[in-house]
Amino acid sequence: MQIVEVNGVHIIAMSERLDVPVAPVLREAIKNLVEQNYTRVIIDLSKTKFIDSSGCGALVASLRSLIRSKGDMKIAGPSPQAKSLFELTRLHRVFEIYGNVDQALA
Amino acid sequence: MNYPKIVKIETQADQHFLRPLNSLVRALLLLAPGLGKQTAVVNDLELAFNEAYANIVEHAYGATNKGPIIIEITLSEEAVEFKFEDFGKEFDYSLVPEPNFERPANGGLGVWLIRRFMDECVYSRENGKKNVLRLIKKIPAADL
Repeated sequence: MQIVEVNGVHIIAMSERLDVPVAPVLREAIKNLVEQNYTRVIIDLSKTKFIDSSGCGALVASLRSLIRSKGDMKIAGPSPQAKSLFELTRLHRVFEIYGNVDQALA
Repeated sequence: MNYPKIVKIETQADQHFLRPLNSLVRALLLLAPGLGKQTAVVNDLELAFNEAYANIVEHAYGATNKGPIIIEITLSEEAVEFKFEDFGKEFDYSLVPEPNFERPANGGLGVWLIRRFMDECVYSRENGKKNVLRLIKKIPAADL
């Protein structure tokens, strides 16, 4: 997982899997950003081939935390597996989803 | 190749084994007759396996108990079966409520995903000490 900042927006690039070992790491990263008043976040999933229920849970928790702090969270570049999972679990109605990071930044 | 093929693994309840086990399962699924080109079905099966193993680690054994998990994977020409046995706390899948999709939560999707992706999800508690979970997916006909 890598975090870069572009014009006040923090882009969190996830690695190949967003699953049980990584989900708490994402939650912790969001918590640290919120504590520093950085509340505009893009989750870059363009390299992520596999997401499980704990990954979905971490994304929901992250979104909640950012919205509570008057921020926002966008998701960029989800794989077909991720898109299918978001649709199945209706999370596509909750998340702002973009094709890539540039579109999410625009 | 003659079928069914059966692979049996005994491991500990440890989330660090989740990824290596998923990789092995995916590789085995790609060997199954009729599944080699059905990436979406293989993805669903990998996710169902992942959720079942993670549930045992988290709910049957909990954070500190790294008890045994015995996994049997059966590949036949008609179906894929995952059988999990553990000796942790009782975890009756039929008692897990459906998620509320109008109010997304931070968890609670795992069992629903297993049920969604598998054709059969049969849980039993044996002799008051062993959880047995059988997940079966019939192999769909491939699109030509």
